[in-house]
Parts: sequence; structure tokens; C-alpha cells
Amino acid sequence: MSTEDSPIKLSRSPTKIETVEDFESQDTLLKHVDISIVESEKRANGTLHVRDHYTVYLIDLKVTDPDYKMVQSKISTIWRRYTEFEQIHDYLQVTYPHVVIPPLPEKRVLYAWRKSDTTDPEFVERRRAGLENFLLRVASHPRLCFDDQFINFLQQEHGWRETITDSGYLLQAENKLKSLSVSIRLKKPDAEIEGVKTYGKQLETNLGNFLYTRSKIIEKNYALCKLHANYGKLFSEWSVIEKEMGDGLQKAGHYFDSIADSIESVAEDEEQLADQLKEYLFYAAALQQLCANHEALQRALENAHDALNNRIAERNRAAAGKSGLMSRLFGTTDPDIVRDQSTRALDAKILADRDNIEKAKRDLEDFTRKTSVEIEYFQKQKDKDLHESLVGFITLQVKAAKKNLQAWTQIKECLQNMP
Amino acid sequence: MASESSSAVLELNDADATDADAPSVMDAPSAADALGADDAHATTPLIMEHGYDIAVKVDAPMKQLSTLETFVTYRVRCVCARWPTPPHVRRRYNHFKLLHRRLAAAHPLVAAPPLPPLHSARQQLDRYSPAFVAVRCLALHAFLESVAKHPILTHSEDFRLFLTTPDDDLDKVFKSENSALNLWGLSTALYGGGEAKPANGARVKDPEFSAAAEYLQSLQSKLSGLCALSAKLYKGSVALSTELCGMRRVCDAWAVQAGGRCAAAVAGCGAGASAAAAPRARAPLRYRAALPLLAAYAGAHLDKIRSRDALHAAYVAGNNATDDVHNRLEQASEALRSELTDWIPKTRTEIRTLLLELADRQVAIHTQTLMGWEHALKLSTEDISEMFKTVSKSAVQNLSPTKCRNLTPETERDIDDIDMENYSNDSDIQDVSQLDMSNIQDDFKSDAAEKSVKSDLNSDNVKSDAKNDNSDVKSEVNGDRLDASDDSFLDPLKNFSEVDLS
Repeated sequence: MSTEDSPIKLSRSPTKIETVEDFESQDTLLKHVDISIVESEKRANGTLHVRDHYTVYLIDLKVTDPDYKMVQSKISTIWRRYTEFEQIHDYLQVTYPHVVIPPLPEKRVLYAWRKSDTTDPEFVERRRAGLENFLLRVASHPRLCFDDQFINFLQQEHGWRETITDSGYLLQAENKLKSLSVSIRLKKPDAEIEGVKTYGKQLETNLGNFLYTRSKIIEKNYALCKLHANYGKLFSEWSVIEKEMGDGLQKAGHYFDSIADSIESVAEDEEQLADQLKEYLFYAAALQQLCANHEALQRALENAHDALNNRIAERNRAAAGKSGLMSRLFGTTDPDIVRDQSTRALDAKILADRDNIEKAKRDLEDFTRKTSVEIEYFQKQKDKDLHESLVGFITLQVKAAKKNLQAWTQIKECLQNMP
Repeated sequence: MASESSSAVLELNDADATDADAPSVMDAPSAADALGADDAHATTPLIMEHGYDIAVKVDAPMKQLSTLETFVTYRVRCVCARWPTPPHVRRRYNHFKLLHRRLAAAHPLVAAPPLPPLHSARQQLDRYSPAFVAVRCLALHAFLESVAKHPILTHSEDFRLFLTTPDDDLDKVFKSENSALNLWGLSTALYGGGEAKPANGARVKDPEFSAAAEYLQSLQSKLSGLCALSAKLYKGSVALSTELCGMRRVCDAWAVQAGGRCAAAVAGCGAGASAAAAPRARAPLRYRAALPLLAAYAGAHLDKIRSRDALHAAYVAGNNATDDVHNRLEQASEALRSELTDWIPKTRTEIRTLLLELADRQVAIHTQTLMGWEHALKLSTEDISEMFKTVSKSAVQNLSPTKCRNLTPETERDIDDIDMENYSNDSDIQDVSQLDMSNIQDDFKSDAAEKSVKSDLNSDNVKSDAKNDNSDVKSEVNGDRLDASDDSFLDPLKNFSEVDLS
């Protein structure tokens, strides 16, 4: 998929990005503007059915670089809903097949451990953070951030939907889906890409398992901590009827209540960390998508080769005069004129085929070159991010354990001070 | 010392005390007995407590088969100053039940300590499960102990029979006087048959005992509530522990496949999770035995109060033989009063002990959990990532012994440098780790811990740094001196040795 086929021409072609260092030193949108999603709002389509309610998010754009001319106005805000985010995401996927496209936050609630759906205020808040993260990632990617459609997404108040559908990305996406649905079996798969693909699958599985067990743990832990509230109640009731033990029991009861309450904030914080891990879960899927794109190009090249070979064989047959069906059935050979004509026609086609091959080769090389940088950058980023998230997770556990320990030590003290 | 005081008690109380065994000394297990299997059980010495002249213990449950049925027996040991006791006897639950019944019959004014409950129909299915048997054993022990410590019941004949009759004779002795009619007759004689129904008469609430009654009732409900809650807490804890083990498995699988720092963090997670899971597994049993018993005991006292109230009501309502009833009433009140004043403070102390036990267990669990996660944090954070950011294979090959020498200016290391020449590029990682054995202890104490696990990049690093650190390491082995300034160099090796050990 060369740049000429993409619906929108890249507004400015980035300078040659050969290595990861180049990547990092490139200019990005984020270096000139600040993007954030400040709030969310519920809107309705006129009817009062629950289904017709949807949430919109307010994107706030602030130009920090005073000389930056690309963006229209200094400060702008715009309301966008999740489906519009999905549109820009799909568009980017189609337009930049060699880039690992940053993923959107989950559409439906995944790994839920308590009853919640997409209208929960807590879920809306997490989604807001996830969408902000998506915008920041896109804006910091040197290849993606200057895309016209993306800039329009951030600013164009009216008619953005029409603009983007006009770009025809939907059609391309459908075509692509159709071509990809046929499982690609390459004759000579690229070892590196295969490796990346396997890695992506592994990462997806591992992250999935981790998220699943985490949700189970927090579920059990939550139930356990809430149980302590019962203790608190029991102890306070008991302290009423006791004389000497009363004080100790009362104080212990308070600490039990504090245990029950402390789990709330822990659960919230953990949920945020889980969101970070979910992002990489989707990233892994995007990585596999990238590999699939590469495979598609390889497939195209192989097909071109096959076409050429077939054509050559055909031409040879034509030159020998055995092109028609008649020759196969009756063994006659064609008259010279026919022979010449068909041979010449086939020669022309062969030339076209060779051109095709060349083009496919160039596409593939181009793609591979760009992708390898992308992949390397992604790996680096992922390593750092995952490490950070996991360390955050551990730190949170440490904090929670400390709180528990403190509470129980206090309880023990209270009990010991009882006569 | 307990022994001295109890022997003093000995002399005061019993003129005809026969010191069969020196009572305050260990219950010698050397007494050879037919049931040799009992010796196999650990015998903790049975020592009388201060102020008591008797000590009992119920333990060592054993399954026994007879021709008709299978049942569990418990070993009852007793050490007493008042009568000679065989080193141990075996009793089954039914015997305990009989004892309880006879005690209740013989002393109708006194609340007999309650027995652990019979099986419910569901529990019949797992009546030999170790947990259940252990709980029951503890409960029976509590029962027998409270009988022994009870000022009145301890001298009861039935009690003595229970403790001293050899196993085979027990059935005859116990059963002979045990006709249901007899028991019923005894209790009714003391409390009067028809008059024991206060429903029609005035309900007299003696203020002295009504407060106690209320207190006992709420105490009973609180204790049972506490027991139920603790059981739920334990179950929840076990469930959490299972899930944490699951997380450890996931993390281990992931760490194998991941690379770089990510793997380190993941491995850390796994370690933390497993450390958090471990301490929750053990089941606390004592509270499960003790709390319901205490609750039942409170209930038993409550019953006695109610009986007394009934008597009182009868006294107030009825006009007959006032003297007799009045006497009985006085007896009952007196008994109750002394009982309660005795029992309530003791129970309070016991409750306190039980609660402290529970709290201790929880504190231990959380301490271990905290330590586990803190260790995990150490495992996964690294603070010198800069060192390894852009190491490539060529950089490793560029390293040479001469370069290493430059890093170790101290003269005493010259000898080590000679050794380094032999340190080839493809030295076995194992060597490095062995040299680092001495550093293991420091790992856990060092603050700048770093973990790089199972990635090719890092193994290259280790090989390269092995050359750098060789001098340090050898100096460690030789002189056990930690070079504080080169601490950063030491770290990767330390942690790599951890990999081999784990």
C-alpha cells in the first residue's frame, strides 16, 4: 500500500527515519500543543430511552508554542463521542499500515469484577483518561501526528464526520478485511515478522491471563475486606454490653471499619493500573495487525511472481503454437499469424508483470524499512511502560499490605489493653 | 514455680493423697501400655497450673474399629493429686456425652459446661475429616478442662470414674446407673414437677439476675456471631490465597516469555503474590472449637437462671409448702450467684485470649504479605538502567581485560588481574554465580537491587560485566570486603546468581 493509494496525502513527509534515535528526535505535534480531555457529559438523542443516551468528551487544545502556525486558534475545545474516536482510529489504521497504531480504551467492560456497564460514572472517568492517553500517544508519534484528518478531528467543529467518510477509508478498511480474512500462507515467511507476530500473540495471552487473575484477586479481597465491616458492627454492639472490655472492643471496632473502607481506594488505584495493562493488551493486537499487513504485502509480491511465471509459461506455449484449446484437444498447432500475435500480446503482458513485481518489491521494502523502526520503537516504549505499570502494581500492593498491617496491629493493641 | 505451689496445695488438701506419680512433674510416657500406638503421639508434659491440683488433656484422636461400628476415640490424660490415675485412657464422644448427662443430673443447680454438638446430618458425611476431628478434640479438651476447674464439679464422682476407669470397664460402670428415668427423677425432685411451669403464674423478674440474664444472652449471640464471622474470614482468606497462587503461575509463565525489565517486574509480581498467599493457608482451629463452646456455656447459665426464675415464680404464685420451695430457691440463687461471679471474669479472660490469638494470626499474615511485596518491589525496580541501555554485541566484544584493569586502580588487586587473563569470554555463568554465593545475603539488604532475568541482552551484559566485576568478586571471596563505590557494578551479578538459585 504505497502512499499514492492513500486517500489523504501526507501533509508533510517526515524526514528519513532510519533508527530509533531519529524517531525520538522528530518533531511531533505534542511538542507544540497541549492536549487534554477535561470533562465528560451525558447527552441524549431526543428520546429519553436509556439506549439513546451517550457520553461526549471535551477535548481541550492549548497551543504552547507561540509561533506554531499549523493549528488554527490558540485555544480550542471540542466535544467528541466514543464512536468518533473509533472513526479516527480506524482511519489511521488504514492509512498507516506500517505503524503500530495506539489503541483505544475498551469499548465494553472487560475483566469486570463488579457489576458495571459503560454508563457507570467510574467507567466514564476511566474512559476519559484512556481517550486522553490515546490522543497523547497519537500526537507524540512523528508519523501520525500531522495527519490532516487527525488535526481536523481535534479542531473541526462541524462536518468532521462527512470529511472523514469522504476520505473513503471505510471502503479501504472493508477491502482490507476481505483480503485478510483469507488466512495468509506464505511460501517464505519473513523470520523477523514471524517472530514479532508470535511475540505479539504471547504478550496478548500473558496480559490477558494477568488481567483475569488480577480481577479475581481484587474481587476476593474486596469481599474479604467488606467482611470486616461486620466485625466492626459486632464489636461496637458488644462494647455496649460490656463494662471493662467495652472501651477496647469499641476501639477495635473502629479499626475494623477502617479496614473495610480502605479497600475502596485500593480498588480504584488498581483499576487504573489495569487500564494501563489493557492498553498494552490492545497494543499487542495492533502489533499483530502490523504483521498481517506485512504478510499481505509479501503475499502480493509472491502473487506477482506467480503471475509472471504463469505468463512466461503461457508465452512459451504460445510460441510453440500450442496456446489454444484446440491444440490441447487435437494436438494441432496454431497457424503462424496467430502464433505471432499471441506471443507478442503475451510479451507485453510479461513486461507489465515484471513491472508489477518491481512495484510490489519496492512496496515491501519500503514497508519493511518503516516497520522495523516502528517495531523497535514500540518495543522500547512497551518495555518501559509495562515495567512502570507492574512496579506501580507492586507498590500499590505494598501500600495496601502496610495499611492492613497497621490496622491489625492497632486492633491487637486495643485488645491487649483490655483488662 | 508451678510445681512448688501445687505440691504445697497437695499437702494442705489431701491427707491421703497418694502420690502415684509425682503429680507436678511430667506425665512420663514411658509407662508401657497395650496401646503402643499412643506412644507414637507426641506427649507434651502435663503440668498443673497454679492453684489447681488437677490437669487434664484430651488429644490424639484415633480411629478405632469394633465389630459393629467405627468411631473416633480421644486420648484423655489426667494428672491429679487426689487419686491415682492411669497414664491415659481412651474415650469416645458417647462417653463424654454420658459424663455430661450425669453431671447435669447430679448437680442440677450448677450449669454443666456444654459439650461440643453432635453431628448434623450433613456432617455425618465427613465425620472423619481431619479438620472436624481436630476441632472436636479441642472442644472436648475445653469441656473436660472446664469441668476439672469447676470448684464443684471437679469433685464429682462421675468425673473421677470417667478419668480413672480403664477402658474396658468403663461401659459397665457408667451404664449401670444410667437409666433415663432415674435422671429425670433426680432433676424433677429438686425442682419440683408441676410447679416448674411458670407460664400461667406471674413472671417474676428478680432484678439481681435479670441483668445477668440479659448480659448472658447478648454475650451468647455475640460469641456465636464472632465464631461465624471468623469462619467466613478464614474461608475468604483461603479463596484469596488460591487466586494469588493463580497469579503467581501466570507471572511465572509470562516472565519466561518476556524480556528485559518487563520480565523482572513480572517475576517480582509473581514472587510477591506467592509470598502473600502462603501464610493464609493454615487453618486456625482453636477459635472454632472454643467460641461456640463459650457461647453454649453462656446459654447453659442462662438456662439455669431461667429455671431459678421459674422456681421463684412458683414460689411467689404458689401457696404450698413455702418452706421447702423457699429453701430450694435460696439454694438455687446461691449456686447461681457464686457460679456467675466465678465464671464471668474467667470467660472474659478467655475471650480476650482468643481474640488476641485471632489478631496475632492476622498480624502475622499481613506482615508476611508486606514483606513479600516489598521484596517483590526490590526485585523489580532497577536504578541503573542507563548502563545497559545501548549495549550491543559489538560493545561486549570490545571489552578486554586491559580495559577492566583500568577500572580497578588498587594495587592489591594486581594478583586478581592475572587471574582475569584466564577469564575467557565464554566463561560459564555458573562460575560467576558460585563466586557470588557470598553476596547472596547482601542481596536482600542492599537498597540498589536490580534484577535482569533470562534475556539474551542481559546475559551478554553479565558476561561483559563479569570481566569488570571479576576483580570485585574475587576480592569479595578473598577478603569479604564490599567495595561500596563499585556497588553498582556488583548488582547485576548478584541478581543473576539469584536466577540460578530460583
